[in-house]
Amino acid sequence: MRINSQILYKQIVESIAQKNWEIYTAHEKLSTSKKINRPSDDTTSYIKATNYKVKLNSIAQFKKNVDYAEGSLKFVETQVNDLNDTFDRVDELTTLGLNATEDSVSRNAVAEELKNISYFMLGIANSKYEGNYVFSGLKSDQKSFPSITSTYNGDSGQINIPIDEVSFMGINFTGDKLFTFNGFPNESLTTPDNKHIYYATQTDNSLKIEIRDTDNTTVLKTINVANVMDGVYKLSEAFKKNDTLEARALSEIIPFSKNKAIIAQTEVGAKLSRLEKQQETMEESDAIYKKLLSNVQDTDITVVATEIANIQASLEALRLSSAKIFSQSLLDFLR
Amino acid sequence: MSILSIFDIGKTALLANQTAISVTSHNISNVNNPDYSRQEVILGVKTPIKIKDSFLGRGVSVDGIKRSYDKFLTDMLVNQENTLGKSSILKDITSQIEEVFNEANREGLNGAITKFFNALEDLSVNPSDTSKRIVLINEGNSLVSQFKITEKSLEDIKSTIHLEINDVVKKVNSIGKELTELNKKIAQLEAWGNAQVNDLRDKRDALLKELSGIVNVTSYENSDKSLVVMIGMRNLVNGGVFNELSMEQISDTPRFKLDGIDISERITGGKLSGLVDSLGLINNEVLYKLRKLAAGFSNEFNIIHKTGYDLNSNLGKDFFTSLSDIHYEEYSQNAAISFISVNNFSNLKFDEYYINIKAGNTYDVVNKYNNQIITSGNYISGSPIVFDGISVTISGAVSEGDSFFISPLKTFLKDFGVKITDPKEVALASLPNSSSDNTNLLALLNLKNKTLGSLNNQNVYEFYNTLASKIGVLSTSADANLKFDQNLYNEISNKKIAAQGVNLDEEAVNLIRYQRSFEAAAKVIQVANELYDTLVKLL
Repeated sequence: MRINSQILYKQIVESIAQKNWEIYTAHEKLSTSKKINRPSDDTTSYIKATNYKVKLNSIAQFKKNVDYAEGSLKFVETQVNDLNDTFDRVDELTTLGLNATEDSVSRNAVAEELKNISYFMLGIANSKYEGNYVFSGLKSDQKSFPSITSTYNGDSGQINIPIDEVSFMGINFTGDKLFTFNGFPNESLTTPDNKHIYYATQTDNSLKIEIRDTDNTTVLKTINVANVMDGVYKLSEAFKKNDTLEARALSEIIPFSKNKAIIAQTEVGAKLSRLEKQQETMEESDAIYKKLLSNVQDTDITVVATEIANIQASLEALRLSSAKIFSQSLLDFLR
Repeated sequence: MSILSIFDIGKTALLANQTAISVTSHNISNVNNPDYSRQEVILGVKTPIKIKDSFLGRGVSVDGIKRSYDKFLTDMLVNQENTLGKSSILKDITSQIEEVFNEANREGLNGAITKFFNALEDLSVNPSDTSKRIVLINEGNSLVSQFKITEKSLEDIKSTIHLEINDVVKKVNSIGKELTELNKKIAQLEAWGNAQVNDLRDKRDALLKELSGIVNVTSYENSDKSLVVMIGMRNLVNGGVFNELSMEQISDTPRFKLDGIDISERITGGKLSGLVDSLGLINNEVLYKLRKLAAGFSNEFNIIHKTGYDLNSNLGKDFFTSLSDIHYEEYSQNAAISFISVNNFSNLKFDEYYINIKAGNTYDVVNKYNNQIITSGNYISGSPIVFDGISVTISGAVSEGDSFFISPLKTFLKDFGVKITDPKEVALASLPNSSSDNTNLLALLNLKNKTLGSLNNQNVYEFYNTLASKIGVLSTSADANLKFDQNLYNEISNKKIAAQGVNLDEEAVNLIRYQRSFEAAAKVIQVANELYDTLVKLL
């Protein structure tokens, strides 16, 4: 090949342009700290990185959900614990009130405390977390029991929130499970003085208590109990009236309701420990995907820095040699 | 033989060397002109005269000035310029499109979709939270804007391409005119004898090369030395005659005519072909899929949203604006579309269709992208044709070859928006009067992973990623093609420059050589003069 001025010039210009381009791309990798700066840099890795980012975003989102679920369930747990403690006290007071040796004065004191407790329990039933009534099911904008004599105003809907790609967790306890007589056994009791007490749950989950005479036919008294709080309230009224038979009839609802609260406590505890595990799993997945994302997209600074040093050295050599080639021609020697 | 003849011989040498120095200077002055072919003086012996039994030389003559020219390499370079013209514009445009979808260092459509779903997910724990509902509506609006910005960026690229096509057509015509003028001059100047007008031929070659970079051309030299230049088998230039290349837009696609014939399909190389191909890529691949994604996703979202209940316990309305304005184009003499609307939102597939009228008053509804026949039947004026959720009524007499283009996508993003403004109207419950019910919200959230018929049985992310990766792959291969073509071009170009280029050292040597010869010739004249002087002094 016949080498002439143009070829030399062209070759040098192209080589310098090529080196400049290499420096530019290497520098881009350094300045963005990423080796993929556009899909065409490495399409497969770009799509992988995009998928990892979506995955990491989901994990972050699920973490938020889990945090919310935890907050919400912890609130429910506190309420249910309080309820349990309250039932313990109701139990004590009832035992005390039913004790034959007690007089009307002490029964009055029991009645007063039970009345307060019934309103305290109503407060628990209508407690709110972040603006929502927690025991009203899906009707969380409404009180579960607008008054102490109301039947359940909520529904049995579960608020399920996604805690990972495939699982959901119910984060609420509906009031019908805790504060109504849903599932109360329809049975009868016979008192030591041969009177009969009949229990019958109604369709609205209230409880109808009938006290019959020794002939088991004459109805002495009918008590309609709208809900558990109403039951405690009516119990206090019975003590106030010194009516131990009525109090005896009403006291049956305490162990039943307390048992429900214990079940709820267990369920909430189980859910909370599941959430804790879920959090750990998510922390692990988060770390794994972050590592994968970094492998795919992040620059290895040492490698790129070495690369830049190499390019720089060859660019310098190129400049030096081109300066030599172009500094002289035969024309310089014509005198 | 007289002493005076020595003067003549010296004179021929002086003139010849002077010419050679001129040519050398011309070479030196064009050392950086890439289209210039090095020239060389061809020296010959002057016809000798007979003296007795022998011949006496009469000096030197300039027989010609030859340019170093390799027709094969020049033709190859012209062809390679054509390939390179196309691959370099394709690389330019694919990288521009790629930047629109590049989310490596910023947030784009993928990010907006994710944020929208995040807002929905945030609501899942507390569906009645008004502030979170407002965030959802805002994120919906951001998503809509992102779709619109993406479309706008692509439309901007398209406008630039259209402008460039206009410029390129003008350039083709101006080169055509210049070639015609050069043809005339070359034919005129070379009409006598065999001498070639080197510099004008270099210029003509350069113009042809430039033209080839723009569009695929074929050319040959006429017997009168003028060049015939053809695009798509039609003459752009024939000797001194020039035909103008014209362009018109038909439905967003440029059509080219030369010498009365539509040559659009025959434009297969050069920048022009690259521009037209890029336009096709943006229209038929990128914009089509972008609009399909927006339309398919929002339609499905609306369908689910409408099955839920809002905070006022009313059934949900459309969350996003639904398809209302279906774009159509009519290619018929006597028939026209009298009614067009959505027939069933659940059946919408969001494609683009042609209703083609065939012989015997029958019609086919054809998918523009895969040419599949969706439905066909007998044409009855005024009777609705229903396909993929769309109902079209054509009225009037049709004839074979009539065609109607139906696109639920073309103007979709222009009207696209979030329809709901009152946060209470976001329908997230599946039951009325259930403010904490998130069942419908979960169904909406499920759209993240749900494959949709209108998105080619992919979910939203898969569909978008397929598009982004396709653009990435196109850009990568355009880059690889460009590098390959550039290398080949450089290779040929180097060979051509090696054969035709100027070497300054060579020219310096020539300069000394011819200067020395010139000095020697002057000496000859000086000697002749002295001889003459000696004789004169004898008198």
